[in-house]
Amino acid sequence: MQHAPFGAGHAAVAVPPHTDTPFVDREYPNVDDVKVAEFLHGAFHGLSAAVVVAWRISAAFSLLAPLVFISVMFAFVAPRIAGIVLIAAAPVMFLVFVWWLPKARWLRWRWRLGPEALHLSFGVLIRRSEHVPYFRIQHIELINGPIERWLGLTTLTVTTASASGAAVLPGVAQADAPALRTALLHLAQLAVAEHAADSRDAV
Amino acid sequence: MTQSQGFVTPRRLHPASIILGLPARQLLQVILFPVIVTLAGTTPSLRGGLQLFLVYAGVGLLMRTISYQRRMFAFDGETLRINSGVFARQQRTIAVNRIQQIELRRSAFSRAVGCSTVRIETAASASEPEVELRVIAHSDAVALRDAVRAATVTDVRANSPRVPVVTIPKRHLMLAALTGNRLLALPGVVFAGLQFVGAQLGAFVDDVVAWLSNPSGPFTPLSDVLSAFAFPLVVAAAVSASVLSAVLVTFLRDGRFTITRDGDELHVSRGIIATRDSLIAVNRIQLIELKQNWLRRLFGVATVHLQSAGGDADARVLIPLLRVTHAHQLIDTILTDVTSVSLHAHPRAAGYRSVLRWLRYSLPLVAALAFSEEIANGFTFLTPLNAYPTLRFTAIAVLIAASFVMGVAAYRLRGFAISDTLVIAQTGALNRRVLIAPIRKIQTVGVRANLFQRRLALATLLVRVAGARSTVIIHDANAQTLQTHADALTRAAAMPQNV
Repeated sequence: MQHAPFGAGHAAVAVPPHTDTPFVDREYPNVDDVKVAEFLHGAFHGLSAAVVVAWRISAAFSLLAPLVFISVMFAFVAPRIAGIVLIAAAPVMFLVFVWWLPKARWLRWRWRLGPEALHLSFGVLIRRSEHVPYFRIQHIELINGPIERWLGLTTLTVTTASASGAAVLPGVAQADAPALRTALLHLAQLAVAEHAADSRDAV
Repeated sequence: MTQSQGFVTPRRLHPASIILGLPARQLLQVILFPVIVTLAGTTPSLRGGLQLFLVYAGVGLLMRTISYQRRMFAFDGETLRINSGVFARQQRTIAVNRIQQIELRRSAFSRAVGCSTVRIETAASASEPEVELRVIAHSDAVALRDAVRAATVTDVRANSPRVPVVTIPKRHLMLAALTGNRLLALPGVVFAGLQFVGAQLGAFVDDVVAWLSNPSGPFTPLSDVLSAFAFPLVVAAAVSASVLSAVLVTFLRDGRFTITRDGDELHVSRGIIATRDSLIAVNRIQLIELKQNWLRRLFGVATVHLQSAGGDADARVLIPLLRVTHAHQLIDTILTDVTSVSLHAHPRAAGYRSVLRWLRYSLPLVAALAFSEEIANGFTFLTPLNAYPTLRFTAIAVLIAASFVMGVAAYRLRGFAISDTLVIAQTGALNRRVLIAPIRKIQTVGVRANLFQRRLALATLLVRVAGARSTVIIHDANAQTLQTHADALTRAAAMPQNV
């Protein structure tokens, strides 16, 4: 199925009446989109493998600048140190930060549309797990940078009223992103509909 | 909605807002620009400067007048509308149920002309208020606030009595001023002063001995005495000035501080010359913070912050000083069950980490003491150590022991509780900080664990509510327990009406 960018083609979903069944176990008669229905099933997903390339490129760029700076600085004062930096330290740092870390990060990433919340689990040295209840979602954003566009990726951010920043889900395949957004909007809509009218204000 | 009828047709602010509504930065610009231009000219003259000022102020006044003409506000019982702008026009609409907090501010000037400023915060207003009606007639401001209130309050409470919740007596304000962070540096200043006097006394004795042995020489001890007395005088003057300013600022800002409760709403008013009058619904409170520095802990008093989702730190309700028992009662009336909740201790492994953290803080000083005489020479208070090696080792031992004690104290003071309705976290070794958030206000929940925490089966729980800097952090608790709590809190946040 071909998905137009930014969700065109995903029709608004009618809200079913309130039940006590968790979202993932319900039938969604109004969701005819296969991909949206698949996300709503609540299985764990990893990130698209192409995100490793994107992370490696950005890691290489962010490592290159300080390396060049240090080498140029030492080239005049102590050429031997500059040589050591370039010959010994640079390959090790590239191996760790450009080769190993992006791959390890990718292996650690898991996310799912849980019963009540979006669950994100990630991090290599610092392991993090984040829960964003659908009821608290304020807005959803899809971001495509130039490298991401080239690799066919999208970053999805979910913002709540918390000032501590949005939940960021990188490395979603560009073709899947609109369907994922539709699924999230659908769940947010359901969560709001299940609250009494006077307690719908999520702040 | 009878109260809102007066605001259905769009109204302007008070005409005094043309002048008084001018932000201080722009006012400064009106004065500074002509001065700078005049001084920068080849032949600066007072007359030219005045002319420039008049033209500049005239144009400014004209622009302000047109802008005043364009700025209208209206309230129909459901939405507040504000139209503004001369060239680029703005229309802002705020649904009444989105309003988090309303505040009336009055400076000395605006009180003199019978005006006030209305500030309205919504959850979207992070760094500046969503709406600021600078300088409107005070009676209008009160009427507008009451109309907005009447529209938001769901239960009918005609003529219900206001219950006083907090009043702060003058002696507590004095205590607040004297134990505030502004004065906590004072012991250091006094200590430095005493040390200087001590050094001068030593020099005085040396000089007196030198003079006695050679009475025909110049009498130098006098200068030692003079400098020994001049310095303490300067220190005493600085100390009294800072004490006086701290007391003055506290009394002007927090004088006549009262909180009254009217049904679901807290009415907070404070200030003697410039006054603030805020209205915040109890169910809009996202976070309560109870803070005590070490001095206030000795006196058994604390400050309390009440935070709604709207506005920056300046918009928070800050109760300057309360007895801790009174603070607990107050928090109990706002969020039920607080006093019945008992805090859990953190696992023992958290204690090791706490001690290690404090040892890490003292490590640079310990290293300096242990390894380098040159470093000790650099600091006058360390130089005696070079003469007495045992003293140096004693200093190292004292430093390590002190870090250990602080680490243990920080661990023992730390605690957390997650009840059916609240999340509470307490931290701090010397300065205690307790954060309390109602579970129905939780926005997102996170768990994180770094390499060292994972080795000890520990983790950190982050419970975020709306508003700036509003995260309750439970650091170094059992990882499995926290994960269970995180799942339960997520469920509660997803279905807040069940809590």
